[in-house]
Amino acid sequence: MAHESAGEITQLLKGWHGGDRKALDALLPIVYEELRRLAHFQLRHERPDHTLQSAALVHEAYVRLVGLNPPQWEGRSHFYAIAAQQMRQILVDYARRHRAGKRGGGEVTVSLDATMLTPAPKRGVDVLALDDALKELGRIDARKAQVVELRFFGGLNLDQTADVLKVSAGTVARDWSTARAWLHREMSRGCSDGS
Amino acid sequence: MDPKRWKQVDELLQLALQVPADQQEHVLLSECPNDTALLQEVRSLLMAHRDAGSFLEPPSIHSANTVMQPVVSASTPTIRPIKGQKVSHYRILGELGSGGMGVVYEAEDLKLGRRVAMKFLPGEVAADRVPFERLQLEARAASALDHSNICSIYELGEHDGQPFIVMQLLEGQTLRDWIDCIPQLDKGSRLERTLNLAIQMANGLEAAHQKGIIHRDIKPANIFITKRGEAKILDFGLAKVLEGQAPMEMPRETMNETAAPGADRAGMHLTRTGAAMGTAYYMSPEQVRGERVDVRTDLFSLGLVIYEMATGRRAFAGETRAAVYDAILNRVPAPVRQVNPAVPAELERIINKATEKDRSRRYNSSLEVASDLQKLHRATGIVPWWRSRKWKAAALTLIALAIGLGLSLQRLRRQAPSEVVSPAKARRSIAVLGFRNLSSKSDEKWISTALAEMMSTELASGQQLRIIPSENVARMRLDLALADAGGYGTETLSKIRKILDTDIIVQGSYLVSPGSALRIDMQLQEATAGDTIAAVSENGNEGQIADLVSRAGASLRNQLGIAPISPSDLEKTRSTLPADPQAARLYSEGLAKLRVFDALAARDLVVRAIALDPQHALSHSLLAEAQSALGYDAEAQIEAKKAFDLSNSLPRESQLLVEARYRELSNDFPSAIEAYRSLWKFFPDDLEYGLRVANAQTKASLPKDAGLTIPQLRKLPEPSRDDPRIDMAEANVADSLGDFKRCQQFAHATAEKARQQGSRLLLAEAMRREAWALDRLGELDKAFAAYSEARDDAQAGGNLRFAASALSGMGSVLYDKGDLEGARKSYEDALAIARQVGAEKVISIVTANLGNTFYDQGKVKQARTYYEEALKINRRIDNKRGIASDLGNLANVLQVVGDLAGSTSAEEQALQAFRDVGDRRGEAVTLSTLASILLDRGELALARQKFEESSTLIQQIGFRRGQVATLLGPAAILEDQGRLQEARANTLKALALGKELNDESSIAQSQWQLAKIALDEGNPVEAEALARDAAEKFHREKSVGNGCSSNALLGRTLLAQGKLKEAQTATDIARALCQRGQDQGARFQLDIAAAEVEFKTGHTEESAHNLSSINAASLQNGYVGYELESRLLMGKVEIKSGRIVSGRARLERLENDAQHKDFILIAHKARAALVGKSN
Repeated sequence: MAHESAGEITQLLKGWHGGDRKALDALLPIVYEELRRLAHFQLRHERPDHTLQSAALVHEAYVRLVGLNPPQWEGRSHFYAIAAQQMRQILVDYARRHRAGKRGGGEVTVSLDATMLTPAPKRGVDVLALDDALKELGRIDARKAQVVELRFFGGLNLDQTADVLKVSAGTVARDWSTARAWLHREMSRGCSDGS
Repeated sequence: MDPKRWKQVDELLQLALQVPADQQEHVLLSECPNDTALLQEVRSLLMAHRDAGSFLEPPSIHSANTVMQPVVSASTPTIRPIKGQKVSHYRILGELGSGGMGVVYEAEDLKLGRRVAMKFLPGEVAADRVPFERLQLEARAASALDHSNICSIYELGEHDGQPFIVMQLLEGQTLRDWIDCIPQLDKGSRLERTLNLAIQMANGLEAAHQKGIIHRDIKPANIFITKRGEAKILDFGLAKVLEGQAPMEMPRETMNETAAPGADRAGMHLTRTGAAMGTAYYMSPEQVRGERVDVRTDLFSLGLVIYEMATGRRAFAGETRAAVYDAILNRVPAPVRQVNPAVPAELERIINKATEKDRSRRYNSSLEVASDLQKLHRATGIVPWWRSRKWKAAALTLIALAIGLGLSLQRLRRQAPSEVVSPAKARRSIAVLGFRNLSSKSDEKWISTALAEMMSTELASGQQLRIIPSENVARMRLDLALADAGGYGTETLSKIRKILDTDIIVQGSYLVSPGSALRIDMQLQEATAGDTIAAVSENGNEGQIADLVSRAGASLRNQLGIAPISPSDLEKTRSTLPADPQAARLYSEGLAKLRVFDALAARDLVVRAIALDPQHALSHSLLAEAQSALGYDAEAQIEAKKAFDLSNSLPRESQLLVEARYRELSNDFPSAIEAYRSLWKFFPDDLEYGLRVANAQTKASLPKDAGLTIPQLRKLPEPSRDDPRIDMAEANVADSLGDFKRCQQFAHATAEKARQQGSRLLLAEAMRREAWALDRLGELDKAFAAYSEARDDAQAGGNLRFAASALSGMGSVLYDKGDLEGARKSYEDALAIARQVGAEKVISIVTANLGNTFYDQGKVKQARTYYEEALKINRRIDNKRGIASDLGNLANVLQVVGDLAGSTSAEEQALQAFRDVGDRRGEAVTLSTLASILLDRGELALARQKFEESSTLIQQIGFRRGQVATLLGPAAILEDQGRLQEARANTLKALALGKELNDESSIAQSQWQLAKIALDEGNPVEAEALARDAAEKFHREKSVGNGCSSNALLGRTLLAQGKLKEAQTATDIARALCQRGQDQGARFQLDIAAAEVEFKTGHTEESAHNLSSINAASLQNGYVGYELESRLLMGKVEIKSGRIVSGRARLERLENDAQHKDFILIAHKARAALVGKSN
């Protein structure tokens, strides 16, 4: 179902842009499934408690992508691109707010998703530093930054990424290796001294 | 690093990566032996590549747990510069308005010393989604446009990460406003002006198109008409940047017909958040379809704008975006000349040609449009209006006429905030502070009130001065505890000036000598320095106050250089006081009493005045106000109507006010708003009227409209625009929208300003509002403190009714804190005070609050007694609004105790009552609770319909918090119907909204619903997490019934995973909670879950037994859903315990019944159990 539906997105979007309200109603559940697939399926063989995080992330991403307004993507590839962008934004927001919260400014409320998460040892990436570095990379080489966004934040594989960017899988693989090296170097250099 | 260099690095790196590590250095050296910098760079990247390990390999989702931490709400704050603040080299002078495209301020360019308009772009633009560079590119292109019909852009800057645009400051109005005023123009000048403006717009467009810039968002709100009659197109270049998203957009050379297909994303703005609906109406078919745009796109929009100017109505209308798009794509607008036969055929042809759906059939350039329009203009040969100056007078006369004849002012009502508007020109304002009694006899005090009233009316006549209403003066006196004595020092004067916003103050004294001789002395002081600018003394007789005042007035007018009063106005001034001298005294005394909040005494006095002189309009007004203050709405309405009927004798301003109050007290809000609006149109410098418009809109459950009015108040000249009452109005709007955070902020701002000014009563009002918001936000201690302060301030200012209501608030906070004794005590104190001043409405509210206290504790019987008592009071004083809410409360009680039929009928009555008083918010809420009862009763189709009605209403009034219920209700219906995906889509919307509003309870309810759906889908792990979270939140919210429901659900999710022990615990918790409350629905959920636990733990007999009583109870009370659910489980139990035939028969009947009632989910479950796939 997931695979069929991915193709359907484009079709439904066309219908919706053409003024068909029903297309929109049909679209939303599919989007949800699609997001779930993006986040969920890679985790099958991971620890079970990841289900919860992925559900949280999916909900958040869905809410942002669809929200209360009509969606803003134009086809399957564009959808992937924006989904990745949103997931990046969500993680960055979380990280940033966490940092802000620690400084004790303002009123901090606990979001639904956060309460569902169990604290885990810090083994992940410093998302804020990565975000900064990615922005920097984007200025030098926009496509490479996007490859990272799609792969790391969007969870797409090489072929899917290639599909979105309309380049060959080989190009994506090369971009990926250069970008990864560059980012790793930049991020291990000064350590984040961001604001 | 420049791109060329980077390319070298990249290529070399990739080359090296193709060989084993030990040969990489070799490759590097052979490829580029000499460029050491390049070698260094690539070597360090190679090293990084080796060290990177699994860096970024697992997608981000894997590390989500290390970064997903508690967050604050996700929206990006928009910077709101404050007055006087320096931003770059500009100093902010004040806000001019705001719209979809951002907030506009008036500012001073400190470098060039000129005044400019500064537009801050919306937060989302600032949130680096649109790169600043791109904005700059667009702005630079647009700033190159130098044409008299284009608003010049001076600069694009950035302040604290927020982009702003500096542009020409214009004085005038937007075309939007202009169109709204069209009905006041005669046909000739309307055509003339339409043509003239259209030509100018076409010229402006032509200049831009020549430079290759397409506007993309031509609409009336983006056209500005200066005072000199020039049309200026605003926001060139912005539409594209703001509406096309950044990521894959192509550079701007897209108007070239041969540009790559799909390169342009103009169509995307139809999906953008925050893109005003206004934009949709003027979109071209190609934009709707998301296709490439070109110059003809602007011509289409221009055609629509001209259409609207010529006909006064939009070519493509529609309530929803989808409807508008459909119209743009598929429908032909009503022919211009059918709508307005006065339009020449040629203009219709021009409009039709510009608005051809197929762009190849449109004009090719703005030049052609302009040329056709010019030809027509010459042919009609009318004198340009801006040379004649006649239009202005004509327009004003027509407005005046419309008001005088009570004609519909429909067109004036809808007024979008304009983008850049000049402040209204201010008249001098004057406040009559009062007259000191120089005689020793205190029974002559009424003369002070009488003189002040008459003098105010006298000076107001002719409308050359703005008179501060005497209520405001009286309030200020209480605020500052001013003694009667005049001769105030400069400090007091400055306070007075600030509170009243007045330029001139009038003070006087009077002396009554034996034989009723009356002498008055009066002086006018400039309020800043206290300089006396005019003075007058008159002698006369106590029985001839009117003559005395006229003479004094004539003399003052002369000294101030104001035209003398006209004879007809003079006549009307006399209607201020009753003709009968004794009635005049009683009326004046009553007025004075009401102003110190003694409504009981005021009522007695004015009733006696009316007995002596029943024809005096304002006496009836006064009685209406007193009755209203005491809570007697029906009496108030009757008196207001009498005043209105007699109001012909009054000056026009008073006449309109009397009408407006009459409409307001009759709950005819649309008419009240119109009346206030026309007053404001007449006196655009008078904040008072603007505030009344906004407040009436808020009362009418039209907070969105009020939200549009307020920015206009902020455009008034200083100091009106800084008046704390504007902040107060804003707080009330936010409250009405359910945005308590914002409400609290504005109430706080009001309180700050009020405290500074020393306005005690306003402070009390602000503190109460802030307390209310804090209570909603869960900041109970702060809320309590704020209510206490409100009470103290109200008491100090002498407004006991208000003090009682603040006390009632204190009670509510104490209740929320769990201090029930304290709560009851506060409520009782409040009751005592309210009874003392006879404030019936407050009494009824406090009584209902006491009922709520019991209701929330689950003591439904006591609650019911109090609700019935409150209902009795409200019926006695005929307080429809109160009746409606009491009925709603009673309905809740009935629903909870399981009397669905009684509850339905009470809700229906409440619904009618809310409709009667025009309380749309109450109506919406009632509709949605009615729907939820219908849902309980299994009437899915009807329930859905009610939810939809409620939702429509809620969207109209912008009551966002209420929207949650209208999303979740249908979700539950969809779930019952087995349409799980749609159910989830709805629930997720509710969740999104709950999060946006930061509303725990909405979030928890959404989670609960999501959990149910997840369980239905066979995903118990996810369901468990959600149910747990919901239960925890309900626990924090002290919501017993919901806590019971979510624990029951939790139990079922655990059962589904085979965790029997845990499931048992969950249902035990649920039972404990349920016993504390009496929520019948929750009890069914619990009982069914418990029966399932028994079933799964092998206690089949108990399970069967309990299920049959659940079934009987639900059948008896009409809970269709639970009835079906209990049968499902009964069938399963029977089969399991060997009674296969009867079990199967039961399930088959169930499948059939459920199908029949549209409970498809249960029908499916029954079928699954029959074929043996039961879980």
